[in-house]
Amino acid sequence: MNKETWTAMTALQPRLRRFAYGLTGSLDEADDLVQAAYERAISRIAQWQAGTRLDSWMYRIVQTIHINRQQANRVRGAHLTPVDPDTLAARDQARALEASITLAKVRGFIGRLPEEQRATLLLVAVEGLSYRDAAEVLDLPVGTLTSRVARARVALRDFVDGSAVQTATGGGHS
Amino acid sequence: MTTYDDATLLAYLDGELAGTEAEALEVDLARDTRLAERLQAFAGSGALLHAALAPATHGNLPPLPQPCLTERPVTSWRRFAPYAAIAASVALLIGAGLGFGTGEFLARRNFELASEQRARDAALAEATLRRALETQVSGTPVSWENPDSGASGIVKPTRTFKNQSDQFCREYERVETIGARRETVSGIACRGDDGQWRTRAVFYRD
Repeated sequence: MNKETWTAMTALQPRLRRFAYGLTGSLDEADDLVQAAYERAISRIAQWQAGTRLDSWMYRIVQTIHINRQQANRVRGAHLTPVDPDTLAARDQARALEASITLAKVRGFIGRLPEEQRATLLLVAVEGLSYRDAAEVLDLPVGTLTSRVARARVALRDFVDGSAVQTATGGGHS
Repeated sequence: MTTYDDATLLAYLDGELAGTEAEALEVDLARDTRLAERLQAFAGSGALLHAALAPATHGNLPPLPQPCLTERPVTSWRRFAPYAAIAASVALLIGAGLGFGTGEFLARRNFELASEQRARDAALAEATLRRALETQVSGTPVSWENPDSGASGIVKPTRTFKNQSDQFCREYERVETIGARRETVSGIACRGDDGQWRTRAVFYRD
């Protein structure tokens, strides 16, 4: 790999980490996932075509590894009680910020979204990918992606309109 | 007046609506407050989503595995500009693209992007907020005004606390009057180690 590509690749780390955080609901798992993604990207750099979007390629690697791990966990953890996303959010909350009750709740919401809607929402609404690029990352027809985006964002809006905001405006400490 | 479904509003918000269609929507947004509110609800909840995941982009990032680097330059790499692409869409979302208060401006400024005055309003509001957070005791309002557009606003820090990372954070309120519209927003900003105030959460009132 040449230096410029690697520089461009390392510059993506914060955004890949954010994407991974949204997918997994935990910063530790996000770091682990991003680490694995970089290892894979380094070993397969020959498969990336110079001139195409490096970020899309990397998002795709993160998403693929995540899905594979999910499937492995489903088999391995089949006998375990499923983890409540709210508990995960609560754990992060301690490390996170201020009256972040609302933000933790929003993370809980992300965790409860169906897997396919979650990745879609994160890529479009947080990572700022165009519908076309996001569809490419997720290997979906643009139409399917568009309707998933809409479903997830309507659900998010309804969630925010509902519980979260009221709690937060009453919270906080001086 | 045209009726817009959620999918169309979202496409607009995401910059996916074609030119004339977007322009028609902007015309309707300017005179239909209910429609503007619907767009704002999407933008506002999107901003919260952004804020919720922001911790992942702060602080020290863990070290990455290292590749073997070659010195051979690849010419076509210059065509690749992920920052530019993402920055462009973020800039679109946050209106004036000031990088501060991402959340709040995203909401109602998206469709006002075209107007330079609006950008000027936003810049004034942001600068005032930053100054108030940095220099004013809680409860002291600071106002701004843009004589060219007639827009004005008041910013008031309300409470101060320290977060888990030992940063100072402040809750604040801002009231803005732009044209006939008056909006009250409260938010939380934290002071980063670099001395920059960053909005962490925004709540829309009314």
